[in-house]
Amino acid sequence: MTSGTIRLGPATLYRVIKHMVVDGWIAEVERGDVAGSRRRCYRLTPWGKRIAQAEAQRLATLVRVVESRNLLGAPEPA
Amino acid sequence: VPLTASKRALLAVALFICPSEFREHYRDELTEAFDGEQWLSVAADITMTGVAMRFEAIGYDFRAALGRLVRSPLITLVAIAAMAIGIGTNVLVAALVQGFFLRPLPFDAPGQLLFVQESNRGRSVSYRNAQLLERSIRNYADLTIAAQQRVTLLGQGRPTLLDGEMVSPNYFALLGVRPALGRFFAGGLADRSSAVVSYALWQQRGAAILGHLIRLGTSSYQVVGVAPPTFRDPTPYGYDVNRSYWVPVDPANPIDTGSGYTTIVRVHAGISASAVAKDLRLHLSEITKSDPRFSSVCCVGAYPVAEGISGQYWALLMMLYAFATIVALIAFMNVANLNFARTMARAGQLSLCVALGASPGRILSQLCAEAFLQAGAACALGLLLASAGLHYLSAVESPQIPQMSDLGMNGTLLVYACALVVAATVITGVLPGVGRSAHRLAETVKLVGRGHGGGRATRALSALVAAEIALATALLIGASLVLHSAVAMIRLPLGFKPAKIYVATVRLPTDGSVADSEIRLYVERMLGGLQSTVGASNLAASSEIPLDCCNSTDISVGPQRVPMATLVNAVSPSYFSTLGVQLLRGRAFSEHDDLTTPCAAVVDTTFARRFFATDNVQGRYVNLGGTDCTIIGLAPELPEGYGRAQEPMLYLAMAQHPHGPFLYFLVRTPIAAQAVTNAILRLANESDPGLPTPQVMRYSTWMEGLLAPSVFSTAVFGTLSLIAFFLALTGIYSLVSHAVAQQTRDFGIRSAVGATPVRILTSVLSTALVRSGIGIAIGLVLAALLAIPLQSLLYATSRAEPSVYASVIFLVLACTVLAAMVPAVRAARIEPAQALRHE
Repeated sequence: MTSGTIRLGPATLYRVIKHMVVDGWIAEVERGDVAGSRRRCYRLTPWGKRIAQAEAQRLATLVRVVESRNLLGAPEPA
Repeated sequence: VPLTASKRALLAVALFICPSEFREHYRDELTEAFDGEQWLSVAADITMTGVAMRFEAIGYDFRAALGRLVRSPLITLVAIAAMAIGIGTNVLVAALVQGFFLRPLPFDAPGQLLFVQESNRGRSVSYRNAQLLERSIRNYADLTIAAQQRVTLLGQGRPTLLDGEMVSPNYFALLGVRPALGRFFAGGLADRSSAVVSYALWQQRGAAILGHLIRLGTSSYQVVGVAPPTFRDPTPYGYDVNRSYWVPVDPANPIDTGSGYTTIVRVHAGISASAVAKDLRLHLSEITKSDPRFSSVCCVGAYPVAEGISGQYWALLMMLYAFATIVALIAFMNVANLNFARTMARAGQLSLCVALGASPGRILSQLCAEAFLQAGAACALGLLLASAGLHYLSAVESPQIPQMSDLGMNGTLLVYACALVVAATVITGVLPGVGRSAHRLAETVKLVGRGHGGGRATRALSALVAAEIALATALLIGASLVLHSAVAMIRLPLGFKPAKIYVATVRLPTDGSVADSEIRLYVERMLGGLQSTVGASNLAASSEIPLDCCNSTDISVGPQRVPMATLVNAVSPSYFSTLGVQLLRGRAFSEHDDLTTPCAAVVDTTFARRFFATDNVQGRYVNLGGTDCTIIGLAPELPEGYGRAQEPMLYLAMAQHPHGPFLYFLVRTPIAAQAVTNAILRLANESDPGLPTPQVMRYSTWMEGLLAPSVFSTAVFGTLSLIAFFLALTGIYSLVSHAVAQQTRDFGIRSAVGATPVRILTSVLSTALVRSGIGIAIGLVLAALLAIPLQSLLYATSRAEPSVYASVIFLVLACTVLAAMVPAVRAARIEPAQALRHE
């Protein structure tokens, strides 16, 4: 998703997931269709969705401010 | 592909760092992630995350614990105060122990220094024997000697009396002390009339003292050096801080003082000091065997200098340390008790946590966080208390215990305080977990949460309280023994009447610079003048006074001329009548007993019975330095000092004998203190302005001063044991309260089926008494053990004194009943209906 810019270790990832589960942002769902898989699946809860929207809103506002001040500069030529 | 053993081990370690619930939940996922090329960075990630989560949990526990403590401020404050007293007293006593025993002596390689003594009196060696000893040990040790001296410093203004020492030329070099100015003695003939002065005397007399001549008594000395300001003479009785000068012993004319020479041996490097000590004892017993003066004395000895300097405080400080540690232990157990009750009060909440999957470790961690916060706060408060105590003690500079001024907080004591915090956390946080294991704790919490397990909780509380009672009983018995000993001292039958007696003390030079005839004239003028000025009915002069005496001298009786030691007091004729003492036989001295008449002596009953085995001693002879003195009277025993065994006493007529280092005037008068003091000082100035001014004091004040150390230690032991006892009583109170709260329903049912309030009251009280009884029984055993080292501090008191044990048992039982009474009455008043509604 970040093209390798941000690398997340598994324990860091699961710690964040655990926090989000405890805070009620996401919830684990049963996935009986993938037999033998160790993969866990989570869904966004309505509360989590509201949090995510608020956060996206905040970031979008931030980006708008940055762009209006031209802080990103001209894009580098390809 | 299965993981290799080393990878498996690394994964196990990394996972172990993570909290258990996280580890169990994501074990498979993390193992799978580990099975790739990036396994090393995965291991690092798991480890770092684990540490972060642990800290997060600890932070959460501490925040929650702080919240809980703040919500019940009273219990928290009580707990902190109890532990602060425990930690504070413990750190304070630890500082004393460190200051007295653990700090190295201010000499080079102090472990190689030994004191030597050739008899059990004086802790010293005669000049002749010291010389013999030096020759026999020359190959593996050096020896130095020092003898106290008091002389008049003449030359500048009014003559001053100075305390100093005659020492071997190698004295300072052997101790490894370097001069602050100039040099120490180099030995040789040129140094015979050299003197080293103390830093204080140098400061007093001005900067240009080096090279100057000073007149000390009858001799003149050139000052060659100044001792460093921190230098203190080591003596077998502690440091001596009062020395103003040091001059070399003249080998051609060594003054063999009555009390001999303090003798110090430095064992050469690489040789065992203890082996040399054994050797020295052997040599010295051989030497003293050939000396007739020592046929009747015992105990040659060689022991480390550190033991001589601080040894006398060892027993006292160790006892204080034991007391302070027990107080701390009781305080911790009491808080453990409080915390236990608090844990049980929130058992419902904790069992919910267990049900939701909190591991026993997590619950224990929560309890420990609470305990740690309390212990930390108590430690801070305790350190403040200890610092205040040290500040107070360091202001009490005393010649006997000069180390006091060096006391203070330091890194080691802070580390020690931290160790106490850990101990407090374990005792007050882990012990209330009841269990030998964390699982057991979780079980107990679950049980109590469901309304069961009260019995187990009460049993745990009971064990804690019984232990507290046991420790407090032991302390109370110890302190009561010390109190008993102090009372025995205060009630010591004096045999004389100290009321309305004033004592004027005059320090005299010991170097012969003031002739005996001058002193006699001075005494005559003083006594004559006082009679006309103060109008006192009783006046006397003496070289010693009861309760604070005496120098010993060798005498012989009978034709065998076997030397024996006795205490000697040279007195004026009215000495006995002034003290209100009736002689048992014969007469006291009269004005006629002077240099023109044969030597007369009065002896006390101890003397008569020890040397003549009869009280009928009139007309018998005592040989003193070659002169036969006729015994003219028998006096009763007068106590020679508090806590001292009675030694034989020989009274001599002051007019017939040379003076000692002190001269006392005893004045029995009803006149006000100020008028007596003024009269004595004025007369002293008129009689002989060359002698130092007398110090005047009531005899009773003098006695209080002598008793002060004993009263002080009784107060300290008493306070510590009372704190311990009070803490133990609050423990009893909370135990019975808890038991009553647990059994409210039970009492209700019993009351409903006809149990009378008295019966319920008796049953509650008997529970408390049984716990207390078990505690007392264990406490008696502990007290018997504690009393063994305590014996050396006791005077006229057996360590198994039955009255002490009986009164402490009665006190503990009575207070137990009182402490248990309030909750017991509450239990007896429970209405059945109310009790059945109780949850």
